[in-house]
Amino acid sequence: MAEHVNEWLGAYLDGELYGWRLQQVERHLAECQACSTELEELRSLSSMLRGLPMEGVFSPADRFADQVLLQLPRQQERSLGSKTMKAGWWLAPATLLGAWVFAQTVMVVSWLVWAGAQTGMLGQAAAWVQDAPQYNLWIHTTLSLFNGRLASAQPALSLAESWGQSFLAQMTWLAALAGLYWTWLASWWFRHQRLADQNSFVHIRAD
Amino acid sequence: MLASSTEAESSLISRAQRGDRGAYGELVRLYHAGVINVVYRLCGDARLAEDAAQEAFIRGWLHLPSYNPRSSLRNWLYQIAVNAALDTLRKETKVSPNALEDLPLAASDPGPEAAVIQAEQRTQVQRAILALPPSSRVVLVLREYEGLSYQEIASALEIPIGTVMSRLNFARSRLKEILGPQFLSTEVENG
Repeated sequence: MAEHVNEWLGAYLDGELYGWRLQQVERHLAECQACSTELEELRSLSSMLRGLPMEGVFSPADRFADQVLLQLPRQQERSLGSKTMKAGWWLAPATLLGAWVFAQTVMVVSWLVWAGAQTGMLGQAAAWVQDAPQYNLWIHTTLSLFNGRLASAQPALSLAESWGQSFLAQMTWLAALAGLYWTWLASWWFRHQRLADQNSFVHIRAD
Repeated sequence: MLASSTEAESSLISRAQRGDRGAYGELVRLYHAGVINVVYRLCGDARLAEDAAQEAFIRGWLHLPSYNPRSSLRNWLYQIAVNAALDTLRKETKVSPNALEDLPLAASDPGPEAAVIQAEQRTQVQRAILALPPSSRVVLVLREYEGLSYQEIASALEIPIGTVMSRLNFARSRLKEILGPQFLSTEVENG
């Protein structure tokens, strides 16, 4: 006799077997008393479970629905799209702040490295920085006016010029970021006002 | 007829998703019996079942905007109801399945009246169901009391069909074990 099919009997009883597996179980049941008895027991168990009445007092559907409606929160959870939009409102200033911190850090570190290279504090470690263009035409002009007597002031002038460039760049960055931030703030405020108006309308209608 | 009722339900779902409470009330009436049946079989207590069913419908309302109308609302609600029932059971220590181990499960003292015997048998079967692990009990309830197919149970619980089958096999063999052969033969005779 073939192996017992106990593990498939539940699925057979539920009408969930198809094809060759169904044929296999049916063939086996035709010749195996033990599996047939087990199937009868499962059938009996299923019938007993389904015949089990619900005990206790239950509210009728209408009253139950009314009770549920009374407890429903005023607003449903927002859909995924709305959630993304909502997150975007808070992501915008966070991104701006992150960009500002990043820009500040890059500028300060760059300036410190360049200044260190100019003053020789970094030694050979920053030789590559010294190859970069370091001062502008106005420094050349100023130095030539004094026939090279101010040659020793060249590093100081270069530092001053570099600082000036950094400062201007920082101011430009800050102005751009501040502009974006104020634009966001204004949009947020208008949106907040609009939602507050809508909610007050809903409250009045609900009351 | 069937198509029109499906369309009506789709319309109710669509309106409820936009925040129409009246439409949601209709859906609650429509699925009230099924959800109550599921949670009652999982909780084994009418009061707990009503609490869990209410909680399930409230959760359903909250999450309705993220419901995909292409899937079955019934199965979606059953999934929420199952979670609500299990949460309710966790909070309620009175009907903890562990406490059921102390109760006699064999029909050793049936009493003189047939009604008393039947009532006791019902209690024993209900207790045997509650003694099952929640994961198996849920599958058993959805199959035996709501008649969901294995595929429907799998999608409602987000588990593979093979797991549905193995949990169902476990639940049935455990019930047979708890109730005993004498109980099943009594049922066959009664039937």
